[in-house]
Amino acid sequence: MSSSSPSGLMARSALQFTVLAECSTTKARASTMVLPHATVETPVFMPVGTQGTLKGLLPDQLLALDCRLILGNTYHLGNRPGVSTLKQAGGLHRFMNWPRALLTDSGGFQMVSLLDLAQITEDGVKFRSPYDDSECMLTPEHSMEIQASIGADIMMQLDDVVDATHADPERFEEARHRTVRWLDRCLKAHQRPDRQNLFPIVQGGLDVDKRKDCARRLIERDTPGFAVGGLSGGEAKDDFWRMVHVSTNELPKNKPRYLMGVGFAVDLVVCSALGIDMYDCVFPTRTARFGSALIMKHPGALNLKARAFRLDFDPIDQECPCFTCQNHSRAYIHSIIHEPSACHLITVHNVAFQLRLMKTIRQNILADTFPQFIQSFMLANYPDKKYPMWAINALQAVGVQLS
Amino acid sequence: MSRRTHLLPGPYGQSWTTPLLLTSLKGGAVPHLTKETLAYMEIEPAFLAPAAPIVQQTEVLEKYQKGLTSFLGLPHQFSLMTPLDPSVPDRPGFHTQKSVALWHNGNKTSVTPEMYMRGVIAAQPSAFVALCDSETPVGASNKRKGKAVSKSLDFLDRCLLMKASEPRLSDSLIFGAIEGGYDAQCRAFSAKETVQRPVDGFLIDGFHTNGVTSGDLIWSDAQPLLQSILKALPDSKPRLYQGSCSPKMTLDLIEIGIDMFESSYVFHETEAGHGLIFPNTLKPVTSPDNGCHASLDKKVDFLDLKDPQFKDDFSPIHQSCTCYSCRKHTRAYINHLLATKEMLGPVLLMIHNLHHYQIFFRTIRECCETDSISALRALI
Repeated sequence: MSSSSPSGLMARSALQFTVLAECSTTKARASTMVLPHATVETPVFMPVGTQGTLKGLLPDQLLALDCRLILGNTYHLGNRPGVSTLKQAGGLHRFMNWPRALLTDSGGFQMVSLLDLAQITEDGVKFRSPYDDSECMLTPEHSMEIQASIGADIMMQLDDVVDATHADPERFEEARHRTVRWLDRCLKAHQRPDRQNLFPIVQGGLDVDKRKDCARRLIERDTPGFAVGGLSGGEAKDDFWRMVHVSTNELPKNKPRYLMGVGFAVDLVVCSALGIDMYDCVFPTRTARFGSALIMKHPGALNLKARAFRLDFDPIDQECPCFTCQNHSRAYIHSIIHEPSACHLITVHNVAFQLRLMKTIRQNILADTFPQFIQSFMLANYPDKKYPMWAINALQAVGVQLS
Repeated sequence: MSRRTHLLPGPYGQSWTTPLLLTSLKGGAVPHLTKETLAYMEIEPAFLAPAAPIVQQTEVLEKYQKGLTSFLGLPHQFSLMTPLDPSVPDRPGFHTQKSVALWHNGNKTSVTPEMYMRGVIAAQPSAFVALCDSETPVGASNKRKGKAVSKSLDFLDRCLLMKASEPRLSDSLIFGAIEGGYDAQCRAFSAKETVQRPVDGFLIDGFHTNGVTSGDLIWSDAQPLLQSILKALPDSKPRLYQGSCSPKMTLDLIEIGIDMFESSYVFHETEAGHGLIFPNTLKPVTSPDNGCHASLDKKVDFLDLKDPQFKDDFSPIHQSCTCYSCRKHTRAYINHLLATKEMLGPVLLMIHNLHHYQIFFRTIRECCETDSISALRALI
């Protein structure tokens, strides 16, 4: 696909992004994103396959769901199986036998969130290996080397991650500037721009001006897409949506925008209205392991461990086309809830749920019925109309009233 | 040597040729697999369903009405319901005069023949073993062994009576259990009495206490007893053996006349992170590489795929295997999945190991037809 790119300029990018339709009310858009391993329809949700596997599902099960883009975590994959094995295998696609597209994070987020002892310096993130206790350093160059061995269609820059609820404004200032400097080091170390895309990450904490400034400086680097980072970390939802809103206002319309770590159904609907194209989150697969099956209406999920489902012979969702809903009842899943097989059945359904929700969002954008869809979706999820204030505010900002 | 093949009638006009492998369910699923992933492999649609999860939700199956296999999403498949789960170690000391303790997920249910039959009627299995007492571990007292036999016969009579008066079970086969532990007299009595009853087959029970240790059967102790029991049984009725059976033990048991097995061996090997590679066909192995540093004269039944030696081994589990896992994935990938404790590791191993063991049974049936089981034995 990239080999067919006509000009020298295009050859620098392994991604073609085409906006097919824009919502006439909100900032939502429906697009196609052509990647080396798949053509992805956006808005898209990417299920998370941290360690080179999507939580018990065979790659063929993901293909059956028409999943086209999944996420892997660089920090974990760099540790196990490691760069040497990935290189010998010919990259993660071949190692895990996944023929479609992959996105990898930079490893920085895990480093800071998982490791107490991580220390950030100008050079990179210094940490003690949890495996052999040796001192390691993840630099922008090293992150790019691991991501090159993984061979994902989209790679993320190493960014200086600060918890959005962090109190120290000086630390945010430092992180914002350092993120731009690290982007330049990542771009320099990026070996295969014709096969892999590098996305920078908009930081800037919860400060409107700093978000804008960070976005503007990243845009100057002319990368194939952008991520909005540093959110979904426990900040107030009203801060969260404003930062998304500010970021998408700054980012160019002709490139994909990826909101990291977001995956609740309501968030996906609202943030799509704010102009986000890509999402990832562990939530749907993690909650499946706790027996929770997602549904399109209030209360949003069924806890299949509950005895209430003992005699419930309906599928999780009558309208869901997934294998689980076509073949099994809530009562059956409840009866095997302690077996790994139950987790597999719910994981299939929850991934199908996310993909189906995104497809519905996209179809409504294409038909220019997205505002009406938002209203009916919100009503189904909040039948008492007690909508969360942040969602009311966010949707109002893009011209949709919840009444 | 004795060689037996016979057709076992199934529901919906199916029939199976023995020696037959039943795939053991755990809870209500093939361990680690689902209907969707089972569809990626060819497997005999014949299952062993331990009774505990069934009797604990008799009420659910009664309301559901369409029987166990439909409830599991495996309709129209052969199912044999049996009192104990052969993959789970027994917990001795909980039986009473009138009941047998069945355990599931840490919950004990004391099951009487009446409760058991209520579960059978709700589950509508193709076949079932009558409720029995198999608590006769090595070293059990004579009194205990005698009790196990008399109680099992009493339970069998009551199950037979209830079956006879239940039209919904008119097509279900009933198996009687031969009990008595390691006691020739008890065994002879149990066999003689059970044969006189209108059963359709036999469970050769009570030689071990289930779980992974069932594979450690001391053959020299069990063999003479097994042989005399099997001689006392009519050739025309199938004999089921439950417990972990290595390839060699499987052939030993077939040779003395066992017809039906179950797959707990495959489950235990999968849980241990092993990939089966023992010779399961008569075809000469084209590649000498068994992927093991073991010397060639040492036969290995499996590879320990947790071993770091497979970290960069991009070959399939077994060179000539055509299963889904071997067609699609490598030892290196499975090694990684096991090292990271990812759920897909046991999924891929279960698919391969179950496939490998099924092919072994297919070969055994072919060998029975051509009288060449000794050729297979020479490879094991």
